[in-house]
Amino acid sequence: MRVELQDLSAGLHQTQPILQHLSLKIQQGEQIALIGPSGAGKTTLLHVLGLALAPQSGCIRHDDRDYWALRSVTRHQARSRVMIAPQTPPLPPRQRVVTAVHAGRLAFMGFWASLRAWIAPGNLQDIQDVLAEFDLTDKLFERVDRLSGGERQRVGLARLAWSLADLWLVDEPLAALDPVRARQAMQVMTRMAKEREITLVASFHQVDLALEFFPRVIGLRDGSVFFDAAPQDIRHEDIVALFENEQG
Amino acid sequence: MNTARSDFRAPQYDPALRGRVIALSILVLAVWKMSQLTEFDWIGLIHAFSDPAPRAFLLSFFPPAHSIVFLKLAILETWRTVAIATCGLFIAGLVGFPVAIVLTRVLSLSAIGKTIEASSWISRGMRGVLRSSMIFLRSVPELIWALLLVRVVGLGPTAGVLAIAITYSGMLGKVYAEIFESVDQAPILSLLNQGGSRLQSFAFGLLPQCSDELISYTVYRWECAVRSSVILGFVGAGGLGQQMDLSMKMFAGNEVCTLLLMFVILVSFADWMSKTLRKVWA
Repeated sequence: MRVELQDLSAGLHQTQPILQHLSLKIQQGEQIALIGPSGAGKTTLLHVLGLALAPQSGCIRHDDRDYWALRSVTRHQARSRVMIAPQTPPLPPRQRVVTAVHAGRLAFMGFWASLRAWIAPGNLQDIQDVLAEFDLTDKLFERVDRLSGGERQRVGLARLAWSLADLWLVDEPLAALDPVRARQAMQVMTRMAKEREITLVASFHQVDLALEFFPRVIGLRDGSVFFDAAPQDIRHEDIVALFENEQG
Repeated sequence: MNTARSDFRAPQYDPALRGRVIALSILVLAVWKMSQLTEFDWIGLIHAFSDPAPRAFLLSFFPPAHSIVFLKLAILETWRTVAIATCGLFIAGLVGFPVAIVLTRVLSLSAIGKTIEASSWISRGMRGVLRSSMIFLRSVPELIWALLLVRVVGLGPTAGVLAIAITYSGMLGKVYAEIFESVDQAPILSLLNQGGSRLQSFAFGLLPQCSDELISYTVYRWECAVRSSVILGFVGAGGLGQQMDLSMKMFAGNEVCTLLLMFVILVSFADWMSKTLRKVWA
């Protein structure tokens, strides 16, 4: 999916938008890492890209269509093509892993298919295969609240992988993972996105991993683009300046 | 602990004593004045035992009626009471559950990505209408509904079932909606944001978070419905209450006594049942 932002401002408060006059072009199948200090607007940008937050001014186009100018039903249909994976995996505590992953395809299931999946999810082997990619083979019928933080985050990623969206918006997918698992998850995620020609935008605090795996890195600071370049063109000083504390 | 005597002298009496005496006097005074207002007559209770008619009625309680025919009737009516409560509650659930889903703001599709003030006035208006009709349904007690319905559908359990259904659908609708609103919104929003429908997000994101609470509350309401369907019988809505009313009017003390015992057994059974079920799910 292609996305284009034009002079866009957005945020939860009318008076002080978090994103300010942002313009951005994202091509089909592109993989972009967002880095920047806390509060820079990474999560807000992901929500705007995923049609989960309306712009206050400016506009956003997905494949040349401005969905906020269209009816809410049309907009909601478009949401089936995007998948936001929040930083804390949004999984109901008592749900089982298999159901949680299965829910990644809800938008493509009709009433009866959803009802069937709700009572007893199908596609067990396929879901098992997705879980295996994230090292969760034996957790298929485990309850979500009995998993560790890292496992839960990987279930969130498995749900993302199971979805049929062609725009992935991933918020700090590695926050709860150890270094080995983080690298592994990164490899699986970028490989899958490449195979399926999915547009991937992900935010990170691990700058080194972001620079290593992503061909385009956007530094976000105070709701504006600080730099937008290929990793080989980003100097160490740029990174330091991006995270530099304003007070000193 | 320090065994040396304190330099400070303890007060002569407990400083809290005065407040307690005043509170107690106020309570006694209030109850006395209120019992005057209600014309409550202690002496009348003693007179009842010396007067022949009331005494005969009270004495006729023992032994309780225990003929096979009457026992069969009593058990049938008790069972009918449970049936009234259960059917009534089931219908109430059929109404209250969908209403609660509609009332839940988190599940609003048109509100995604916008502030609360910006959500459409149509959906807000519709929720307002639904909410006030729920208030109307539960603000009229089931006893009043039963009185009205007995005149509409005639004497018998149908009136009882409908009365329970009407009042309890208001209660269930309100409380279910409150339970739905109290859960973590992130799982629901996440499903909505990926294009899930309102019902899908409800089933996969909301319900798994609060199913235990829902069941526990519903079972508790069932217990209440059993108790109140006994009362409904007195206005002719069938079940144990209606039988008790009949026996009372015929001054058949022994029958009243048996029915009272059935009532006690029924309520403690409902009590036990609801406690056990809630322990299983909670």
